[in-house]
Amino acid sequence: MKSKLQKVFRGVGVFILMALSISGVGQAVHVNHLQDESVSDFIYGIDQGIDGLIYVATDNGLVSYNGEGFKRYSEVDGLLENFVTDVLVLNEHLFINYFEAGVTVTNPQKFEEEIEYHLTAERVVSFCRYNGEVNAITDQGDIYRYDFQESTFKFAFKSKVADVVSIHSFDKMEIVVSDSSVLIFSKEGELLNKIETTERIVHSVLDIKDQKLFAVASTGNLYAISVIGTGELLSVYQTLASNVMGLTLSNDGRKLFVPTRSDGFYVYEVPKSEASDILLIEHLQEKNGLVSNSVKLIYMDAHGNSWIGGYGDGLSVLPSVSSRTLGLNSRIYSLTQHGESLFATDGNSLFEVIPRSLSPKNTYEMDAVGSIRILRSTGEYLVCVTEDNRVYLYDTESNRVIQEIDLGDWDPIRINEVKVIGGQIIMLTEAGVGFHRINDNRFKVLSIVSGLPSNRALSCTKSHDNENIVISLDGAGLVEIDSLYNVKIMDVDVVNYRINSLLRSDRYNCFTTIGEGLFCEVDGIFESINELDNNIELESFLLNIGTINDSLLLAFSSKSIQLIQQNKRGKLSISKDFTDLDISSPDYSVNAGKLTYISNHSLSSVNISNNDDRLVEYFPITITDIKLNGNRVPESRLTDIVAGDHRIRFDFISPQFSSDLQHIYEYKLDGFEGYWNLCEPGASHMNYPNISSGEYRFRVRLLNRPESEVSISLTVQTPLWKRTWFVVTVSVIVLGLLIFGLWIREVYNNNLKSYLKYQINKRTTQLEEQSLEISHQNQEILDSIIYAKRLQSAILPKMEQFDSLLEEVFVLYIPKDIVAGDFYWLHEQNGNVLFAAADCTGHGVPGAMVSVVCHNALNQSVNEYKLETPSHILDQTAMLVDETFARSGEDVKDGMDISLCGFNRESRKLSWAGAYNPIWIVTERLIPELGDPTMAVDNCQLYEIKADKQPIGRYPNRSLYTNHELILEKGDCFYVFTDGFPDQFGGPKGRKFMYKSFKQLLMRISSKPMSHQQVELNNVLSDWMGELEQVDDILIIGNRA
Amino acid sequence: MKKIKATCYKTFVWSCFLMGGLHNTASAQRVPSIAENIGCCATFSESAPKSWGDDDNVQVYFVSIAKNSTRPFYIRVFDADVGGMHDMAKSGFNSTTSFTIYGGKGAYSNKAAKGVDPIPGYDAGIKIIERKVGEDPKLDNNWMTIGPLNPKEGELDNAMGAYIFKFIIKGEAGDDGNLYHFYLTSQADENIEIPGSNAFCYEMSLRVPSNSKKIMHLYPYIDNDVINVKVHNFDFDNGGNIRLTSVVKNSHAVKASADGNWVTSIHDVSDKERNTSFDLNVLDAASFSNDMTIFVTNQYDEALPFFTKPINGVPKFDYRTGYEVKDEE
Repeated sequence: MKSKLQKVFRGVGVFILMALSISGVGQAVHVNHLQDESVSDFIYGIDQGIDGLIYVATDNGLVSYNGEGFKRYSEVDGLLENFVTDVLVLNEHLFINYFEAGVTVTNPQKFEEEIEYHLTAERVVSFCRYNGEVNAITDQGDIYRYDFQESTFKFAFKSKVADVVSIHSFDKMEIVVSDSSVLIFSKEGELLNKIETTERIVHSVLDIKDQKLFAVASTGNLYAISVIGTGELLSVYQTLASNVMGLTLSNDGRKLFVPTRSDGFYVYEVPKSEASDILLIEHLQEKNGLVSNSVKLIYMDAHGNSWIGGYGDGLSVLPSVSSRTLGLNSRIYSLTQHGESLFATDGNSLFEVIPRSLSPKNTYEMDAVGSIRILRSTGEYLVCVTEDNRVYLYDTESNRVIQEIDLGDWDPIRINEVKVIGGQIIMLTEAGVGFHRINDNRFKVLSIVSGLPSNRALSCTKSHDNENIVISLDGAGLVEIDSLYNVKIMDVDVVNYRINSLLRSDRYNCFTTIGEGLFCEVDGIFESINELDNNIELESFLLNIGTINDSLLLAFSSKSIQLIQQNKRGKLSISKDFTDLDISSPDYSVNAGKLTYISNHSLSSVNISNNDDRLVEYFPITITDIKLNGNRVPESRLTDIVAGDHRIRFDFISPQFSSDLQHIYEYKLDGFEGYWNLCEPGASHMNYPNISSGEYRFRVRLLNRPESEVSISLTVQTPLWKRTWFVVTVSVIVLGLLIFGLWIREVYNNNLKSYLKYQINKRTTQLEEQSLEISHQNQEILDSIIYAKRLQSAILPKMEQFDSLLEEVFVLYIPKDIVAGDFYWLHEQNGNVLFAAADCTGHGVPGAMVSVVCHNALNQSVNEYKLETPSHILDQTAMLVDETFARSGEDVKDGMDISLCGFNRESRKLSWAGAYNPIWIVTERLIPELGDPTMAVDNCQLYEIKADKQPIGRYPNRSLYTNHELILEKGDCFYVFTDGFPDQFGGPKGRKFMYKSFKQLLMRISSKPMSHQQVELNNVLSDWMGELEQVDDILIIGNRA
Repeated sequence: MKKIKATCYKTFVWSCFLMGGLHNTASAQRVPSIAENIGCCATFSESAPKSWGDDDNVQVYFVSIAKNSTRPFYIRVFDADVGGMHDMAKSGFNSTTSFTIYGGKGAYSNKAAKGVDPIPGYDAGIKIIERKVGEDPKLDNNWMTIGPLNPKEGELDNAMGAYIFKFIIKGEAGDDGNLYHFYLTSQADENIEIPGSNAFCYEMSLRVPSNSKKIMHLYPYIDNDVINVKVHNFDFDNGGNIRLTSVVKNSHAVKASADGNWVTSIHDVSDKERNTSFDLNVLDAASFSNDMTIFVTNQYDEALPFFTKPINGVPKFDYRTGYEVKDEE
C-alpha cells in the first residue's frame, strides 16, 4: 500500500516537475492547463484523497487524477447526476455533492462497486470537515452530521437560515454563513450570535489556527470575524477583487486566494492585525499566464500546488513556489562543477546541467535538506550548505544525503563561504572557521579563542608554497593555518582591507576587496591594481578573483567579467572585458572554453576560448520563417506583402534544452496589438490572419527573459484598389465621364430644353391655377359634406335609444363616405319597437339626400298617420316618397330598399315587412310556420323571410307590402341589413364576401352576446377587406329576442 | 446620347458602392429584440409613482440556452446604472437597481415565477449572481457584463430543450426609472449571439418614446390550450393604438389604457392561431415619452410568455377568414 501511495505521490510530483514554470510576484507564471476530454470546462470542487488522488467535481461528472491521467465517473458509473458541485474526501469516505440530487458517500477505493446514498432528497449547499466530522447544510438551513458508525447523515438541527453560502464547524460551534450574515450556533443549535454584512457574501473560509473566519463578498470586501467566544466582527478589508467567486486559505494559513469571474485570482497575505490593510501578494490573470480570467476556485494540495478550477476553461495547475523555481529561468544561489556536470541550486532543488549546452540533465528534489545557499563539490559528493547553517554531503549517484556534518556545539551564526581544499571542507563563518576532514570526519573550529584576530572569515585559499591554508578575516588581514591548525598572522599590511576573495597560484598572488578593488603582489608587496596597463579601470567592488590555467586572471564584479593577463612588460592588462552583465553570485565555472556564471535569473555563459567577445546568449531565438498562406516569404519581399484574405505565419525556434521542458514564448506584433501574448507551451509559431495594411514589427521572446527578444519588420501594402491614388483616379475618371456626358447632353438639348421649359412653365401655371380652383371647390364641397354629415347624424337614432328600447341589440354602421345612403331608423309606439335598416339608392351625398326624404316619410307614416304595422308603414312611406319626388316634375326614380321590423319585447311578437331586403332569423329551434330553414348547421337554423320585390320609390304596378308576423322565443336572433357587407370585396382573390358566407358567419356567432357579435363582424370585415377599399355603406342591425 | 448617360450613371453608382465598402455587423441576441422594435425596458424603483408606468418595480426575464450548449455565456446590460443618460429621474437620481440571475430547480418551473406579480416564489431557484447598481458614471451609456455563466446551472426544461435562467431586474430603494436593454452573448466584451438562445417574459414594462411614430411588437406565444386571450395594459396614456395581428387576425383593435389605468380586452383564439405567436402592435402616436406595462393571459388567467424571438416566427395575416366563398349566391 505504501509503495502504491508513494507511486501516486511521485506521479503527481513528477507531473508537477514536468510542469516547469517560472514565477515571481506580479510576474508571468506558467500554468499548466490540464486539457483532457474527461475534464469539463466548468470546475466546481477539488479535494485530495489520502491516496494522493486529486478528485475534481465538474458539471459533467466526477474526475480523479493520479498524476498521470484522468478518470471520469458519470451517471453510468453510479453517480446520481453528472452535475457535481463539490467533493470532499475524509479518510476512506468520498462525499459527492450534486447540483440537485443531494449528497452521496462512498469509498473511493471501491467507487465502482459500492455507493451509499444519503440526503438524496435535499439540496446540500455546503459541507465541511473538522476534527474527523463532516457536517452538511441544506438550502433550507437544515444541518446534518455524518455518523461514521452508522454510515449515514443524521439531522442535527434547523438553523432556519435562508440563502446559505457555507457551513464551518469549530470547537463547540457551528458557523453558518448566509449571503447577508454570519450566524454562530452552539452544537445543539442555539443561536449565539448573528453578524450582519452589508453586502452579498459568496464564500468563506475558516482559519482554525488564528481562530478567524474570513468571508468574502462579491464586491471583493473581506470580512474577518473572530470565532472566539460567541464571535465578533474584527475588520472589513477592501481587496482589489470584484465579481468574486470563492475564497481559499493556503495550507500554511498565510495566504488567501480570491478567485473572480472575470479578473483571474488574487493572492493576499492573511491579515494579522485588525487595523492593518490587507497586503496583495500576487494577481494572476490571462495576461501573465493564467489560462482564463474566469476562476471558480483554488485548491492547494499537499505539495502546495495550486489547482485552479476554471469556470469555462477547465482545470489547470500552478505548481508550488518550490516547483515553480525549478527551472533555469529563476533565481540561482550557487553553482559548482561536480564531475562532468555543473550543479546549481535555486535553494530548494539541485539541477544538473550539461556544461556545453547548459541543458538541464537531471533535477534532484532536496526536501530533506532544506533551503540550500552554498553548493560545492568534494569530487565525490556535493557539499550543500543550508540557510540554517547545516552542512550536508549529498550523493548524486544514489540521489540521497550521505551525511550531515556534525558541527557539535559550534554555532557558526552564518556560513559566508565554503571551500574544499586538501580533503577538508573549510567553512568560513561569522564565528570563525570550521574544518571538516572528509576522510576521518574530524571537525575543528578556529575562532578568536583559538588565536584568530577576527571571527568573521570571508575567504580562503591554499598557500602556493606549502599545504597551509590562507584565510582572509574581515578587517583583520590574513592568517595562515597549518595542518595542525596553528594560526599564524601573516606579515602583510592588508589589515585595513575587507578581503572577500583570495588567489594564490604559481603566477599570481592576489586578493579582491570590498570597495578597494584588486590587489596583487608585486615584488613582495601587495599593490592596488585600479588601473590596468591599457588604461582600463577595474571595478572597485569585485565579487571574486580566479585564474584560468594560471595565465589569465578572472575578475568578477556584479556587472562585468574581466580577463586580465600579464603583458610582456610584466604589467597587467585587460585581455577581454565582458560588460553590462547581470551577475548575482561570485560562483563560476570554466568548461569547454565557456565561463558559466550566475545571472540574476539564470545561468549564462561567455565564450572565452577565442577572440569573439560576443556574449553567448542563453536561449537565443531565431525567427526561422515567415509564411504567407503557407508559402515562405523571402526576407527581401517582407515589404511587399499585400493586404487581403491571407494568413501570415511566423515560425521561431530556440534550442530545446530538455525534452521535459518546453520554452514558453511571448510574442507581439507591433502595429497590430499593444500587449504581449503567451504562446501555448511547446508552440513555436504564430498566425495572424487578414492583417490590414501598415508597418509591423513581430517581436518574440522567452517568457520572463526580455533580453532574449528578437524581432523582424514587415510592411503590409494596401491593395491597389484601396490605395488613395487609385480611388481618387477612378473617382476623377468617373466624375469626368459623368460631367462630360452631362455637358454633351447639355449642348445637344439646349434649344430643346429652352422650348420645353417655356411650354412647361406655361402649362404649369395653368395647372396650378386650375388646381387651386379645384382645391378651393373641393374644400367647399368637403365642408358642405361634413356639415351634411352632422345633419345626417342628427336624424340617426342614438345607440342609447336602441339599448333602452331593446334588451340586446347591436348596430354595425360603417358609411363608405362621410355621409351615407344607408341609414337606420327607430320608433317606439305602444310598446312596439319599430326599427329598420334602409339602403337608399346611391351613396355619398345623393344617397344621403334620398335618405333624408325616406327618413321623413317613415316618420310621417308613424307620427301623422299613426301606422303601426310594418307593411302599412311601408305602403304609406312608398306613397309619400313617390309624392315627394313627383313634385319635382322630373322623372326621379330614387328610393330605398328597406327591412322594417316591429318587435314587442313583452310578447316577443315580431312583425316585419321588407322592400327587397329580407330578414334573417337565427335560432336553435325549428320554426315550422317558416317552412324549411335556409341554412342549418348542427342545431342552428337560419330562416330567411323574403321581402317583396318592390322598392320604396317610383314603381309601376305597385301592390301592397306583405306583413309577416311571428312569435319568437327567448334567445332567437334576427338580423336586418343592407347589401354592403355581403357585397364587400376582399379575401385572397378579391371577391365578394357573398350572402352564403354572411349567413354562415351569423350562424357561427349568433350564440355570443350581441356586443361580441358586433366586434366579431367588425373583425371579420377588417380581415376580409385587408388593404382593399370599402365598396358601399355597411349596415347590420341584430337583435336577440 | 441616352446610352452614354445610362452608362455614366451606372459607373458612378458602382464606384460609390465600391468606395463605400461593405459593413459586416454581428447580430447578437438583443433583449428586447430588433424584431420587437422596443428601445428599452423600464424598471422603476420602489418609491416611484405607479402612474409612471411600472406597476410592480420588477422585470422578470427568462433566458433559454440550448441544452447542448457547453460554453459559458454572459449577459451584457446596456446603461445598467440609474443616472446620467437614458434614465428617468424624479428629483435627482437616488435609486438602486438589482440585477440577479437564478438557476437550478424552481427558477422557471415554480408557478409563481411565471406570473406577472412578484408574489412569494417568483424568485425561486438558486441565486447565482447578483449585481446592484446605483448612479455609476462608469456604467452610464455603457455596458455591464454579468457572467460568465455555466449553461448547466440553469433549470433544464425538456419541453424547450433548453436550460432556463431567470433574470430579475428589480428597482430597489429610490424613486427613479432605470431604462436599459441587454444582450445574451458568448463573449464578455463583445455582443456575439449564442446559437439557440432566446429570452422571454410574462409581463413587460417598456418605454414608449415621444414622437417616434414607431410600431413596437410583443410576441405572446399561444399554446394549444388557449381558447381566448386577455390583453392587459397599464398607463398607456392613450398614446396611440394597440392592435393585434395573427395568422387570422388583421390588426384587430385592442383597448388602450389611459394614465394610471389598467384596461383589458378579450380576443378569441381560433384553431389556426394555436401554436403560433400573436403580434401585439403598440403604435406610438404620442408627443410625449411614456412608460407602460403590458401582459397577456389565457382563459385561466395564466400569463402567456412574450418571446424576443417569436415562436414559429413573426405571425403574418394570410387573408383567410375561415369562410368558404362561392362564386355565386
